[in-house]
Amino acid sequence: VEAGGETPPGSKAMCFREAPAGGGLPPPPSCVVAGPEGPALQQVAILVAFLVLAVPASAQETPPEPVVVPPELTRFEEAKLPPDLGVEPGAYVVTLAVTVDETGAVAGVEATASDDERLTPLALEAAKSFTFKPALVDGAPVAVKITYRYTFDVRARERSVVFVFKVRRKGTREPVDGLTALVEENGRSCTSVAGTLEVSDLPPGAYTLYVPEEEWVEVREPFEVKAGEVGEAELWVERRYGTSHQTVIRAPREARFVAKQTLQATELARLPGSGGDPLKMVENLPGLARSPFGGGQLIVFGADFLDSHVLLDSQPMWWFYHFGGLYSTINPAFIDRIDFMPAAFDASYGNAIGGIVDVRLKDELLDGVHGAVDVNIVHAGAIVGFPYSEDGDLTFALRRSYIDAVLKLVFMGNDDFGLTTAPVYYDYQFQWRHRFGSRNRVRLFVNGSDDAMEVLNRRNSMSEPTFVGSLGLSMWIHAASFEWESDITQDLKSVLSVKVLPMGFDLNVFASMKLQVTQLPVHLREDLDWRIRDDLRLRAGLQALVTVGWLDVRAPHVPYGGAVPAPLGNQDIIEANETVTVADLAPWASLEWQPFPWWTIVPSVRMDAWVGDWTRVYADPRLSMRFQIDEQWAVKAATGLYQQTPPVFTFSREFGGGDLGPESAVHLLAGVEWQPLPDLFLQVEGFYKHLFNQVEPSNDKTVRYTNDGYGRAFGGDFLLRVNPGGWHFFGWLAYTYVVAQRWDFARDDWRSSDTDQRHVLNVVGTYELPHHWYIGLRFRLASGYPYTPVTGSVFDADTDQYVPIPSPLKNSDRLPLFHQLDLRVDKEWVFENWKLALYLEVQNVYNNRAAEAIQYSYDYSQTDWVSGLPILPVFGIKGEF
Amino acid sequence: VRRIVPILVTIAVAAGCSDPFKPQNEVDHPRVLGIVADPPEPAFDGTTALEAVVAYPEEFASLAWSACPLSLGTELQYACAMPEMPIPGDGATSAFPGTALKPWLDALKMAFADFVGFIRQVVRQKDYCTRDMIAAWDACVAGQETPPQECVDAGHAKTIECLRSGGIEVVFHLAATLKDGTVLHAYKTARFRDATADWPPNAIPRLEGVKVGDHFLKGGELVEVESRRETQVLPVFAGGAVESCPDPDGNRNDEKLWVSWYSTAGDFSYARSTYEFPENRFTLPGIMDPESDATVWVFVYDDRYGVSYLTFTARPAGWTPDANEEDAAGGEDVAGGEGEP
Repeated sequence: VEAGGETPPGSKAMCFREAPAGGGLPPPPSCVVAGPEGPALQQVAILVAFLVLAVPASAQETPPEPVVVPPELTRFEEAKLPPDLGVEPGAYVVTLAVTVDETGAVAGVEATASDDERLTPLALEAAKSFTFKPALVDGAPVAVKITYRYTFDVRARERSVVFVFKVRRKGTREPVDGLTALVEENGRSCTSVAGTLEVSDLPPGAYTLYVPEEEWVEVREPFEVKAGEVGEAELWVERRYGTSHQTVIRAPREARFVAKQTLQATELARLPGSGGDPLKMVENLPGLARSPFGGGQLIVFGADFLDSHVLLDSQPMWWFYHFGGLYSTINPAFIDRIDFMPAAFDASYGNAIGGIVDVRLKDELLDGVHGAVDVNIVHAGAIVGFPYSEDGDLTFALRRSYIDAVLKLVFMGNDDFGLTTAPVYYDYQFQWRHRFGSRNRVRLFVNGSDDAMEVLNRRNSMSEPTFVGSLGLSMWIHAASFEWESDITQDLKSVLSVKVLPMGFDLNVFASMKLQVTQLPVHLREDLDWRIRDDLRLRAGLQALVTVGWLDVRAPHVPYGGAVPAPLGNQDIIEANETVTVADLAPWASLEWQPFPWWTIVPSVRMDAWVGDWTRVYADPRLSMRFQIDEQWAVKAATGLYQQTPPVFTFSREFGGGDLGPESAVHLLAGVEWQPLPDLFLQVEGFYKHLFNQVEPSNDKTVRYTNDGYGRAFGGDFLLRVNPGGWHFFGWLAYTYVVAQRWDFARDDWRSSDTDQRHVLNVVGTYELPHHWYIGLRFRLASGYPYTPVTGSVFDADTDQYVPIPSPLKNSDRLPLFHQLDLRVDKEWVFENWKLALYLEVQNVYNNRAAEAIQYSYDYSQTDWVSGLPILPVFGIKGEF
Repeated sequence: VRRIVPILVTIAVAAGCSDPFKPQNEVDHPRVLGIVADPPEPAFDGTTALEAVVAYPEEFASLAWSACPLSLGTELQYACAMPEMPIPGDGATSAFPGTALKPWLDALKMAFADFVGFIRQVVRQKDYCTRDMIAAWDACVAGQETPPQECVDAGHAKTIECLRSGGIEVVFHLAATLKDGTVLHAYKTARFRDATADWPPNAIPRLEGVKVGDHFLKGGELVEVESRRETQVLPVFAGGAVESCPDPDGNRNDEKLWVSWYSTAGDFSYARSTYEFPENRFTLPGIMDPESDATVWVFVYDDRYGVSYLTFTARPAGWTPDANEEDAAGGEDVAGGEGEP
């Protein structure tokens, strides 16, 4: 502990018998400061002394009253504080009883009280060297005993820095804060701040800085102090095994998102099944069903996957996986966390009757040049970012697949089947961030992706007579988003973002079907967050959308609810070539009120006003609340009305035809949370969703679709998770039970919806071994999706095809139970400036041929399962600096 | 768009998987292989001849024909919205005159509202005439509990106009009963309409013959082919097989032709071939049952209900049936020389 600064003058004195003493000296400049109190206290002390002396005088009625002059401090002695005293900076008082003799010398001293006993002997020792002008009574010096309050103002003193260490974490070069090290030679400790650790007050010589084995691996770093120089060196430290403080999945704490789960991106990448892509781990959370073929569709609490949205910083993303589920289109290095709200969220999100996944980008500015190179069997990518000033940085990323080269080799020499454009994708991202002062931050995020494939089937080995020619897919998107975050006042914050994302989709299924869509949407979003009082917070905002789309489509009806599609050549084909324009203006408000510390209630409302080729106005009121019973237990509940546009294809005059209304749902959700330990969390939730105004195909081909459908989904989920901490392990167990049904008008009864996956169990975890080895597993168990069995077929002699006869009991059969085990092993080598990681991920370890769909013989007399991927080892390497 | 992506993935995955089933062109049990309606587009009051092509005809007990002018189409497995009209005769061939529809057309007026309800379920996107009729009907009957007679008269007249110009699609139903009682159902469409100069009636696509290796066959012959060796088979289309016709928007399009190959033994490399890539490869197995030379059917389809076929017999080269078999074969001509059409 070091101390320094100025000492306030003055002291308080109380006469024991004779005159009180007072006064003081300005302290000398020193790292140890102590001294008497100020003149005001001195005057009070004198007054009190007079009163004490006056009482007996008055009682004895002894005339006349003596003239009393208190003793005056003429020499102040500074207390000497040793550097290892350990007293925190602050003000401390040791109250002393000091006897001043007739000469003004200190005849005796004793402590009567002390704020810190460690300071008491120091004050006593210093007080012995005090000298005073003696107290006078009627002009004659007398001995007195006074009370002296010795005040210590312990503060950081001006030090003489002799050596500076830049403390960096090995591998990432991140500055390390809060690292405590010792100078071995004198035992003095020092702590790093903002990545800088300063050693001071050492005479020239050789020393060793010692970092003990606690949070960081033990380090002994020799250094030399030279006279008149401030030395500088880097200190590389490495996190000690088992001390990760990454939070992988957090408890939902916001009352407006009672069912929210948050996944931190960093550690997710090591979970098996992710392929290094954190977004792919979302489907292992409670509330989500397993998507067929690992396609990445969000099937939340039994909702159709079109009813849920994936957003990037709360703005639409449209498609977030290459080729419908391979890898996400954003480099994971940009992602900070993923917020998942399966149901019952407040009005800040809209146009979704299912759930929301909001992918959040990292906010912290880069502290130096950073980058990574990632190579696996599918693609290679690189990212690099650097700060151009203390207030801004730039980041670039690019990734390209090369499975096209592999597949071209496979099909080389095949005259009948050729890859005109083998499956290939690329994506890119550019980010600019800048801080304007302490209150304004801007971000420009530009990203794009392009997927393309085309196969040429010159002759037909399949039963579909029209499956000859070209099968091609091309999908591209280029998005630019500008975000301005402003702290208008301490209690009022604003986030304004504008996003433009032109996109195109071109699907050509031989001669039978084509779907060409080009779209130019512009999104605007303003979010205001106003903390009115400690217990009252208003969030409000506005979302706006203007989009124009160009369609060129030749396709059959979109299949719905348990349909068994006939061969493509037998279906009625619809053609559309049109332009669709719609605009939406959606203001919303959400009030968070905490009437009691344990109760938070959030009413919210949102209004959507659509114009253009679809015109509707509707409002969604919502309410959620949270009861924090104690530090461990919480109860939550929420309900609300959720509405969304009918499926986008129904905006087409040819495909939609009818003037459909919005699809609607009422969510009800309640749950209990228990967090007995900081790293252990348990949650049980129940939900009910009533679906109405659902779009269904109409028998009337002049209308095609109606809003007559309705359904329900109910069930619950259970989550037990372990956060990373001292256990070397993190992971979770999630179980979801869902019943998802639609009303079957033909049978006048409920039937399973297409997304009715009753049981979903996910066990996900990774264990950190010493020496940067990580081993992870994922085990999944899920009910099969329902399907409508085929009872027979008839022969269509116009097309030489058999047409299936579906059972009237729609979705009455199920695919077999799905189960799969994935394993992943990571080994990391950490160097000073970079790190290298190798990983081996084995999906479907025991090679379960899981049924993903049913297939039929040409006349539907025989069936077999379409299996998912067999055992699939994936090897990858990643270098990061 | 997002709904389509997983469908595409499904198609891709399915297409890449090995098919565990027997191919459609392997004929190993009694089946209806095709139905020819000639012509496929007769005049509104003309007649079309029907011929069922079946494999193992001796296994069939009966073939019964019926017609439906109000078929609900593929989505409802050709269910008929009215009782089907039986067609006299019981055999592989039959005929249906368009005049048989006149009483039915007249009767439409009696339940015209029901007819409109039916036609709503099957009207095609580009059947502008019928859509206009439905729109006019909706406007006429709006707010009326009972459809006024003038609406019925106008709607009926418009319907007849639409049917005559656009055609009335009659779906013929063949119920083929096997001796074990199993009934196989097959459906074939013919469109009865008044042809115009711009839109002449469709003719069935015809084959002049098939080249099997070096042999040219016109149909009905027996040809020797090497066992366990791929033999090229090539359909030879008659001139004008590909016709051109206008679509409802007035654009002229060429027909899309494809060829379906069937055989009682052996394998084809492709289930189908096309007009653009017509050839196929045929392989006879090494060991064949001497009582069953491979019967091969070659069907050619257009996309307007036109279909024709020819058949031939393939025999392993060098294999000689015994004398009885030879006699039973009736002294077939064995194609041995080269030939060209």
